[in-house]
Amino acid sequence: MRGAYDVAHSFVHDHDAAEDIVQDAFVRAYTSLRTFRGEAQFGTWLYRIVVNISLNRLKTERRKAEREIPILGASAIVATEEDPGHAAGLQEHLERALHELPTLQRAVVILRHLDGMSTREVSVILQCSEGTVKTHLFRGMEKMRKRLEYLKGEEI
Amino acid sequence: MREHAQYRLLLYDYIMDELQNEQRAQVEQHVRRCRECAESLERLRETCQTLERRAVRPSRLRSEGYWEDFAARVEGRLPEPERRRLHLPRAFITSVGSLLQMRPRIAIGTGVAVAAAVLGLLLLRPATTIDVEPEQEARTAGRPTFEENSERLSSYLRQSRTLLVGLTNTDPPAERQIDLEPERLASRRLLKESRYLRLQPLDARSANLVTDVERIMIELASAQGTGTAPNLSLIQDGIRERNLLFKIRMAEQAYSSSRFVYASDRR
Repeated sequence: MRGAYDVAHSFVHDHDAAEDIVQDAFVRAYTSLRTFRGEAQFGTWLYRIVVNISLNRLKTERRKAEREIPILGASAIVATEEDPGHAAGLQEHLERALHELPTLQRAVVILRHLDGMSTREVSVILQCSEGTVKTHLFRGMEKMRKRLEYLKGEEI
Repeated sequence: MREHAQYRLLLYDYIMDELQNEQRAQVEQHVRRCRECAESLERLRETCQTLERRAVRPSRLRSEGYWEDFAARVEGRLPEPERRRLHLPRAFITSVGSLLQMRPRIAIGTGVAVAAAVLGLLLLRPATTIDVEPEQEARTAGRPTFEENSERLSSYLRQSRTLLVGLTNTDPPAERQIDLEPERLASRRLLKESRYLRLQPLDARSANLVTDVERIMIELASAQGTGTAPNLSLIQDGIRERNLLFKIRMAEQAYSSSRFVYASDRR
């Protein structure tokens, strides 16, 4: 469940929200086990539930933020500051750069690069083609690099 | 141009050494003559290295106690009918949870084994017809005597204990198939008995114990003839979590000193 927690946290950037997502995912997985058709492997199916809940939550929060806070990105910065034990420097920059990626690019970078899944597995989890996964990964990594360079320059 | 875009998307796989030899050679050849891709490759490599340094995983910021209690917290969120089933939810969460503690690539590979075990327990249950009609027996037999029920309950507990001790002590190597057929047949017999006993006016503690044991028997009766270690371990977890062997021994001691009573006799 720690792997699922890490994935959820990478999306929502908040410990309470990550816990809520993983608990929700396990409840859904258990109560809907009968609908598991074996088309995907079991671990992939469970991760898909975690990712779907995370993405839905982000969508809801984004809508809420658009209504309440006109400045985009403000919630991301607040969330970073709330993280317990969060060290400044590179770690914080990485988290921030990751958090500022568009949702699907972030999902692909998290699953493919940080969690080491194959392109095929990520495509099953996100329900898109392998080509789309590769495109999101390339663009996501490029944006990460640019953002990290910017944040590094800002520090100096 | 199209060719260039395609190669660009292979750069990550190239860095991670996940390409077949032929594709790898093609990427190398392309990068040698395409400056843009050569630069992209270098930048991507640097970004990957930087991201590797993201060493602190969020889950490590939680205490060990937090993870130990995790399954119980999830179980608390389950709807009541699900929660009452043998503590299987907790066994399920713990099994799948420890699976996901591994790197997902490994976890997904081994996920099939756990999925098969859990699905074996859950999916087969509705399809399994347990061919007994204890209700009918209990209704038509007239009210049995105190001695008859005492005897049946004692016998039921003794047989259940023998079966559960055997299951608890089974420790097969992971992934090796074990034959659960004899246990399954025994559990079906005991299930018939427990259904009869539950219809008798037992005291609360006896009724609870019979219900607890019955849940294990249902899982066992519904399990496949052969099972893997994870399959068996779910049942073992259920026995341990309910502390069933201890409860049965305590009940046997109590009943041997005639403390088994009809609920109606207490009034």
